Amino acid sequence: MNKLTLPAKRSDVAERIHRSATSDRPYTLLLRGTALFFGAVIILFVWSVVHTAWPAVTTFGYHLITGSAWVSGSGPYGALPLLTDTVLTTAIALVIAVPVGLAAALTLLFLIPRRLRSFAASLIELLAAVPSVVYGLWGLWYLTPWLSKTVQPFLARLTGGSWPFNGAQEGFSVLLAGLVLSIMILPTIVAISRDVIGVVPRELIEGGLSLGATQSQVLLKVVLPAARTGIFGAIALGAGRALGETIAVAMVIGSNPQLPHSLFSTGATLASTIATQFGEATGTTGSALAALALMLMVITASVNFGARVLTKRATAPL
Amino acid sequence: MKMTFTGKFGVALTTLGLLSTLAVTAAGASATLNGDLTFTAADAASSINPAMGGSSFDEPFFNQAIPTYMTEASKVSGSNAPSAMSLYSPVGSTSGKKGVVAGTYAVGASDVPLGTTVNGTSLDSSILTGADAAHKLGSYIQVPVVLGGVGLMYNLPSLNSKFKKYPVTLNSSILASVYDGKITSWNDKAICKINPKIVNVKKNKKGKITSSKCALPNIPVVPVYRADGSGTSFIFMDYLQKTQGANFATSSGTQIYPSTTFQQGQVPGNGLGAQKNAGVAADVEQTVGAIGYVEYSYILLQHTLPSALIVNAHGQKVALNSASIAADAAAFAATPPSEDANGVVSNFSIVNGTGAGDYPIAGYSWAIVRQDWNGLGTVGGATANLQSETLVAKFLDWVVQGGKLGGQNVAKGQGYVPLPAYVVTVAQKQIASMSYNATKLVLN
Amino acid sequence: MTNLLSQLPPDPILERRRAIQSRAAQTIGRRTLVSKAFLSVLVGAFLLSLLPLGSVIFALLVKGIAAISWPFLHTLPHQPSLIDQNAIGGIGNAIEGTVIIDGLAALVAVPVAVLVGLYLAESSSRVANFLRVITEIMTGLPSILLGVFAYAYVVLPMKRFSGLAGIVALAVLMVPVIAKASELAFRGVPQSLKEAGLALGARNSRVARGVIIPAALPGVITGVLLSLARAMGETAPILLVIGASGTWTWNPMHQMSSLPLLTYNYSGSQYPSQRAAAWGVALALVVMVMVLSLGSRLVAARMRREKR
Repeated sequence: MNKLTLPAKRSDVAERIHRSATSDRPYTLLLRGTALFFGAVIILFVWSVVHTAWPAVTTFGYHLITGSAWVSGSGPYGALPLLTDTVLTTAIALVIAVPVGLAAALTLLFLIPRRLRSFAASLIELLAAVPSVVYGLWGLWYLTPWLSKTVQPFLARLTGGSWPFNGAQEGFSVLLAGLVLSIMILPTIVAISRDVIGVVPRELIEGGLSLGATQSQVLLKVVLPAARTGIFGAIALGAGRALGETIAVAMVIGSNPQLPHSLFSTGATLASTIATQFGEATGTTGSALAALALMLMVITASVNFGARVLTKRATAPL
Repeated sequence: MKMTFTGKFGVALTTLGLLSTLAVTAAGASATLNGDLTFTAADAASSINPAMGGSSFDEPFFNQAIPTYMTEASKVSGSNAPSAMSLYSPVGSTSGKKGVVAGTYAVGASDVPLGTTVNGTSLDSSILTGADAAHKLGSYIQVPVVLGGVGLMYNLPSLNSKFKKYPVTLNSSILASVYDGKITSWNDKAICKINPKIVNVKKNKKGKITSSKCALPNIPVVPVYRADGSGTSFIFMDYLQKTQGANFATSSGTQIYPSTTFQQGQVPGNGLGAQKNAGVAADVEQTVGAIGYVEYSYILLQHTLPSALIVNAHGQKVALNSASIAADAAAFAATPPSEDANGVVSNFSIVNGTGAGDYPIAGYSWAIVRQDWNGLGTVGGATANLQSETLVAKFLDWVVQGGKLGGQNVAKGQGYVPLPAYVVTVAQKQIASMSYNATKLVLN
Repeated sequence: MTNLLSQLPPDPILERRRAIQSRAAQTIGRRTLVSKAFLSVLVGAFLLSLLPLGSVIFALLVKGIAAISWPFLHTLPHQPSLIDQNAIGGIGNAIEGTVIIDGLAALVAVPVAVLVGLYLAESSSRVANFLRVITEIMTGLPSILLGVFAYAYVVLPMKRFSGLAGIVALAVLMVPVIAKASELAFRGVPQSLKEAGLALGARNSRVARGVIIPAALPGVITGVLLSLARAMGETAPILLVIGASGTWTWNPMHQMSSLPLLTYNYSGSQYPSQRAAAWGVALALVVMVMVLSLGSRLVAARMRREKR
């Protein structure tokens, strides 16, 4: 029985595919090698932080997290006020920046004249081009007096001076830090969500409109759900930026590590404390500050994990 | 705001005037009052680039002194003069100390000498942990380079118009109580009592005083402190601790000792932490009722807010200016700072001088240099050889000189007070002890 | 025919469609109104987001332009003194230092980051997942830690402060940001395009070069931009490592000057002239970032057009 022979041409193709699969090794190696190299640098970095933090971790144990007093230099080293302020300022920033940022992204993509879109988008990107030390300066000289003379009295009057708008109206506060952060993360949220909303297939949008849905219905019920993965990514990136922002926060939060009694109270975040004290710290204080960095890493990682879980759940039914 | 002075200022000013003629020359240090500016081709100084950094207090001084020194040297030595020296990095006192021990700085500057012990513990124990020579305090010389004062700036706009002529007076007890949280309001009895001029007076028709009420506002005192490590904090706390002792304590009664980081947990909840002197000045400016401690040059150059008069050890109300700082430094002439064989500097604190005109919150800044560079490889980015060590020694020697072309003249132009003669002597003795491979350096 | 159709039982789908259409027609007025209101809220929020921008730009322009002059941009700095309080010199060497440090950092970071992004996009192995997680962690870290890192691993062993240490710190700062953005961009390239390339017999490397990277380029460039903008404005990582320089320094092995560091130092000066100049330095920095940003934007736009 004759064996079935493939036509010459197909054998050629098969061989070429085989050859290409094997001779593609330099490419694979390059990718892997670069990734490994970069991974090694990061691991060295993380290891150096853990290594520095270790003495404080073994000495103070869980008190590092639960302790409610942070006194640099002599101890105690309790990061609870710093953790609270970090989460609080980031939360304030997100509450302001996410709705505004999404609205801005939708406006840029769908609502303003086509000619102006690119210009308007670069306006928002301008915000990202401003160094954080400038935001600090601006926050200090422009926002602080505005907050203490206008916003804080207004909020206090609105609520009759009850929580969370009570306490000294000094301007410098977790509220101000959150406000400055919201402005700083806005371009990140706008840029990324504009990119991901921009790739929502036209057919989906046109389908929605052809079914008689209004523009707002299409935006809310078709566009945003279709882009939610990326939007969560944008929010996570924004949150990451807010959690880790240092100089600008340090300039407006009042650098006073205490548990916040209201939105008007001064505070200090993990990052601002590291920034103000790391350069000058030695010994135990340096180690405790590295432990703060470790906490910040863990928090950032959890935020990213959380975002990833949400992202997966969001994409599942589609 | 100009204040007039009486008392011992005449003496202080005379001391300053005499400084240039009295400067004692120690063996090895330069004989001229302008330092040693001569370089020969063999010095190869033009290419040496020793890194310097540390206390932000010294930045304006070094950043003018370094280019000035290169210019002056080139006038004398032409192209052999150093021309590659980098500027000074204002990274903070502790970073300056860390840097010089690690060999990244040829000159590290700190407002507190390396190895200072407070309440039985060394501030730098963690920097000096190690068995080799680099971690031995005795391997370094410490040179006082500039003298400065610390002022208390406050923001009370309600006093601006009516009481412009009467800046608020404070004393150490009030300051301690403000910073440890015992005094919370500006019209506290203690503050009113030492400010008898700041009163609202009611008179009857005949011009007779019927009542006189403290005019200080009933608003909270907001103490502003340095959130970063700072030699200014150390000097301020040193003053409060020396004058108030156990009274300067946390709410739980723990005595507060001087440190470069203000004990943040100890200030009241409405206290504001700020970075650098500018941060303190800005926070005070932004907050009604705030008070903060800043270097003299900030008071001198930023005319936005008044600074408080301080009641000194002699019981006098003294304003901050170069004469009152110089008077304070002069009060310690009998006990000049000295470095023992182990490298420990004693008598460096000059807070709370006893003279009538002394402004009590002042201090020196110190340049820290390795005493012998032999075998160090690289120091502050420069090859550690005789030429580079000699350049650093010549530069420091020039820095402490009070002559017309000397470094202290630069300091004066930056709002510092020239070093008193007895401290120049100490500085020159320190520089003269520098050696390379156990052979003393030769300065002209 | 018509007769026959009408005799059929009612089609449930058609019925439902008819119901929906009539309902849609009934509510269109109200819905349009709600929609209009919602859209105006969106535009309102967008305008609101421009408000702080306006304020920052206003402050930068008003205070910055007052400080900037041609000599300010191309001369060396000078330390003012009581005698000459306004002699602050210029920022020429800080501009030069910023260009060198950020340029070289980008030169190092971009290829590494794009390759890492490609690896992350193409691989779902355990190693890749791990790398993805730590890359994400890196993007959220306070940048001062990178300064500490570069201090420990570059400055201390070399016993010298240098532009190089700043380059290392900024490159490590930039890679995760670019890698993450380019991973997203690479993942956004339709699977069908890649498969088409592979089906034509192209190797993975050829597909990456010819299909994936070009298709994802606008996204990658956005990432590079965001990270470069961030890196350029960062003070903390270079604060501890690049030292200070008052002269033109072209060799990154030496101490260098840079605009963000100068902004930071000037903003803390006791000299009102230097504090005013801080805004000028910041404006110069923002303009540099903007020029870069607009340039790359044009490139990206042209590439998008060419693709079509």
